Amino acid sequence: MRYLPAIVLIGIIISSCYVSEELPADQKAWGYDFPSSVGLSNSVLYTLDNQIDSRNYAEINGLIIIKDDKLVFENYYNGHSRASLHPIGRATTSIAALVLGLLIEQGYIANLDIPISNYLPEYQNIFDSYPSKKNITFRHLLSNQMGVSWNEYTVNTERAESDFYQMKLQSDWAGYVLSLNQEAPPGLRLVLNSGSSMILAKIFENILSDVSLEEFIDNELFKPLNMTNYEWSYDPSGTLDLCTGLSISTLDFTRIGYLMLNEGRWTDKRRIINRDWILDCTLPQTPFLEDLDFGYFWWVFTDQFNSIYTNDTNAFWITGYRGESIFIVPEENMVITVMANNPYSNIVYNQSLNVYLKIIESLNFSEQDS
Amino acid sequence: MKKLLLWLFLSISLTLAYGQEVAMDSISVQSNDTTRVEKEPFIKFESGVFLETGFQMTPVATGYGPTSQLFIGLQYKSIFGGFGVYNYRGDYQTTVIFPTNFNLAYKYGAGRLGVRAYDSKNFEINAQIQYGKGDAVWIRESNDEKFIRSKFDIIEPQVMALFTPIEQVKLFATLGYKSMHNLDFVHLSNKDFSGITFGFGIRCGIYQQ
Repeated sequence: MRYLPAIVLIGIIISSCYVSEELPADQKAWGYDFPSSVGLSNSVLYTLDNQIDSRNYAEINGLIIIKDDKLVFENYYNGHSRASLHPIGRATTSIAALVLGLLIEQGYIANLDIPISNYLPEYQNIFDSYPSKKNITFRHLLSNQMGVSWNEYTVNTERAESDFYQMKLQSDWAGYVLSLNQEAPPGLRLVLNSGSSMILAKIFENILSDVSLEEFIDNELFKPLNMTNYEWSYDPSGTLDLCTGLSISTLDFTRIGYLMLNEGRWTDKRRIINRDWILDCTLPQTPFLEDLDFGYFWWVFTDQFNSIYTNDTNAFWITGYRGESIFIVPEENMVITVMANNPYSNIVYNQSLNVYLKIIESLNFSEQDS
Repeated sequence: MKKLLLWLFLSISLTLAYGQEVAMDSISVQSNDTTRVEKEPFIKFESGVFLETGFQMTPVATGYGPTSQLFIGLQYKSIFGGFGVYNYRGDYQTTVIFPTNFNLAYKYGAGRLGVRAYDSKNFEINAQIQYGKGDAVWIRESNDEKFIRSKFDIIEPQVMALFTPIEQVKLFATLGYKSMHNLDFVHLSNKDFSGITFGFGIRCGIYQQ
């Protein structure tokens, strides 16, 4: 019996080996259901799933559909899992817009028409050199009308001649964007410019003296949404990359979309973001293409697009340059997250958009489901 | 890691057994003495350590599935206890989250306390209760990814009947009721895993009078 303690200890260790394995806990935001129970076609979505798996849509790594507060489709492809992190590219700017809303609500910024030069003392030499830049406001940044030269829409961002690409070669990305040639007075020309979110990041960091910008986002936005799978990156000067720096799981990316769908409330009805700010972000503020209007960093399909492709179903969305997209369809109470990795594709008309259209199509086939 | 610990346990068990034999061998007996050794009935075990393995049929949703078990126990007179690991080996598959099929897996570790209620020459009946903690997991069929997990508690009173065909080896059968608690798991609930259980197995032990 003198070996009794050792034997008991070994028994406990062996038992604990079996019960202490770390596995992911389930998400608690939504219940699970079948697509057919919320008006989507099981058969169309099965077909879509097989097509994605067969790479008919190039590289789609994750697809989630939330409808009527139920998670009705979730699958991952090409070796990815629920916990896999994906860089979402310029879709990171969606977070920049939400942070700006929070700072306005908390009184750090009075309104969108205040010149940004008030918050950027470190770039005073740029404002002195280009006096017209002193007129750039928050609204100009959000609506892609700051007026500097920027070729984001016409040149693929992964090519060396892209301003986006060149920005990433600099040490101070915000300073680079702000120092570019002023082609038009602020507010006159619309030029897609995601780099402006780096200027916002610099402003946010200047405003938030007590906490870092990453901590602020974590405390005010991500923790209330129970987001756990994400990572941030920084530019070489140490500024949080609010332009392209968020890597996130498909499921947590979906939480952002669901927050937008519910106009700033989370599943427990807690208000995270001011409703008016969400509406400002997601209503057409400036026209961009025949099919696309700009909100504040979020994009909105035009009535023309909807009448041709979606049977007049309205939607707003955000996308990265590889098709990392969230589509929000308010009238169907639906969020669709397509986590793609398709470089060198059109930033609007790409495979993620095709997946979205296929899911909208499944709405119209629902009555044929058995 | 698990295999290493199991080997450690087995090594210690064998060392104990070997140590006893060495101790017996070291007794010097005078050649002119007469020693009469009477072999005691081998069923009169008083204390020892034993290892158990077997299968148990346990409820899963509307059916039953096998659960393997590996148990290490100690016995002192009519009281015994120990620790075991239990691993569901069934094949329960369903579409938990559209459009993917998922396989169920669960395992738990449990402590056991029991008493020998009846004892005859080569037959005994034990009453015992087990309490354990474990994880239930939905595993994606396509890539074996552990997708959703929930912890749970298990309480299981059992009656165990043992038959001793040869020394140090017992065959046993169990009948019990498994009650699962604190499971928070999509598609299945506590009651899906709770119900009558029955099983069988083999126990090997080293015992002293």
